[in-house]
Amino acid sequence: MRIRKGTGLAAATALGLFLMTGARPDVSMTSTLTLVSPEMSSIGAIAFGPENILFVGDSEGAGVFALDVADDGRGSGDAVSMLGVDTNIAALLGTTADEIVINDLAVHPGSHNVYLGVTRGRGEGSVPVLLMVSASGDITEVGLDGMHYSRAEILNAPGPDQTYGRRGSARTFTVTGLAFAGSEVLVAGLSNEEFASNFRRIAFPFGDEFGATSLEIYHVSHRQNETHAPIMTFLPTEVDGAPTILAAYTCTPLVAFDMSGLANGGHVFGKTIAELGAGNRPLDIIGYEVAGEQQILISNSRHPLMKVDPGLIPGAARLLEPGETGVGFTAVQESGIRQMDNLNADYIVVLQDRGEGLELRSLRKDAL
Amino acid sequence: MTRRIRLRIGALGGGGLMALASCADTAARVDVDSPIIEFVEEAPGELVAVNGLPQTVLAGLRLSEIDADSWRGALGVFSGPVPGPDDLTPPMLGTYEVEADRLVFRGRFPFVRGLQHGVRLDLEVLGRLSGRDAGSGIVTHEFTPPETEPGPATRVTAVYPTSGRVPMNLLKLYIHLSAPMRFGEAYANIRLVDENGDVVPDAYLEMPQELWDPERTRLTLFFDPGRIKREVDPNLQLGLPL
Repeated sequence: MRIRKGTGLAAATALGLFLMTGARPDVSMTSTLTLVSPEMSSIGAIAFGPENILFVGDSEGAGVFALDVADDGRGSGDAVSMLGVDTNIAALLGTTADEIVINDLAVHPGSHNVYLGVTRGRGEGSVPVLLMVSASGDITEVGLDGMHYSRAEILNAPGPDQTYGRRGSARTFTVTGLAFAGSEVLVAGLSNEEFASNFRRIAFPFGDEFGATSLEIYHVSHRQNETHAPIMTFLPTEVDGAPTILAAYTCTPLVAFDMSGLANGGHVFGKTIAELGAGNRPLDIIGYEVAGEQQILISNSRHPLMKVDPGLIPGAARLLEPGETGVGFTAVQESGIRQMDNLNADYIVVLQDRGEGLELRSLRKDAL
Repeated sequence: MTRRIRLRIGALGGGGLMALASCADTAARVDVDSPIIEFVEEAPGELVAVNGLPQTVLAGLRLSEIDADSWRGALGVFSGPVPGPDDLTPPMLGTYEVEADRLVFRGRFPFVRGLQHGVRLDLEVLGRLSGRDAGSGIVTHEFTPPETEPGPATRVTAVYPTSGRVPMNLLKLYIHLSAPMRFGEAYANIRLVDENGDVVPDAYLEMPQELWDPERTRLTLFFDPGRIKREVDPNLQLGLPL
């Protein structure tokens, strides 16, 4: 069983997936980024994809960007650590730490530089900023002037009983998670009008004829009711060779969706495999390998970091009875962890709040 | 209402010293050898200016290729007091330009109003960058960009549904505000209170980004259906956002 993370895709695995989906591997994805100087209204989620293209979910502008960040891939890959990353970023951006929000984190697979999607300011004048932290602790702004990119709309694909429309509409779609899987960018988010779990699927390379299609996702709750609920974070992966999405919800069930039988605009039913506890909001989910074993980590708003053994997923019974906790998971004694990503073969990098501002920390995978 | 302090210093070594102070709230005694740093608001935007640098130094700076990091080492502008020698707080991003009679810094982003800023000019580093002697020592300056007049306080204009009694399984609420709001503070200012006046914990879904409409005048609150278990009349108590 291979587990891969959408944001830290090994080139070989990516190539394999392209072949599986019929894409021509000799067409450079980067060459399809023909626009220049992207203007984003916000940066909600970021994730690296094929050819180290950085995908950015822009909630306010209702779009997904594919950016050629032109990172030449030369980085030491050493463990990075920075105390007060929020105060340092604030100083660099000419403001104070309470006016900075670090929305997401993604590690460039080639250079191992840590990219941060940041919002400066919380009011009218709030602006998105893309920053990069090197292993040596230098923070630089990733300038968008002259950068090659392409863009797709998020909001142009209504479901049968929904009217999407951006003009004069109060509807927004807040991106909570984003990943490249197969040949698509998957975007999870929450509408401000329905308590629903709509994935957006956007074929990549982006083209005019492909908008986002909507994917209804249901999971079975304790009383066998189909439930819509917003997905907070997700991980595209494979379970027993089948493309699968592991999704963590607002009310913290962990659900596995088999994507292999997916038809266009169809519904997907998931299997609730774990309950991570009430009163908690999952923040991020990553997969990594250590000593030949695959592991999955989930960071939470209240609970400590949780490690889930994906090997137990195929045989996991569907959770149906209240009080069941499902697939075995263990708590890692690290709390306050928000975003995470694979840094290199031995480390993950995390954004963590241990009570004295935000830190960038590298944690050994074999110590988790 | 902004005020501008203008201090002009005549050319060194030439004619006499001429200091014109208008609207000055400090009548500073000017040292002819020391550059003067000031925060200036002038079209097209605000900047920090260093006046009183020798023309030879300005000319040398113009001729040199200076990267942003090097500039910041010579002239650093901080969104806080000037850091001490062991403090590694970085100066803010921005651009540097050598004008006819001054060196100017323009921030990458607008200066935060009402926030005390610090400026640090290292004359030795500046001299090295220009290839000339700019003197030695550190010149510092602190300034606070004046705040604009506050507008009228923002008010909650409506809450939907409007009824005082709502079904137990109510899923969402819209809160309308009279003006665009800052994000990040909504949940701290909203409480769901039961009939005893006790706050109901974890009543609604908290999203880091919050759920606003594009104008940021309508906030959506989703009640987590799994949490509505008691028979309470939701009694909403809203703090007035400022």
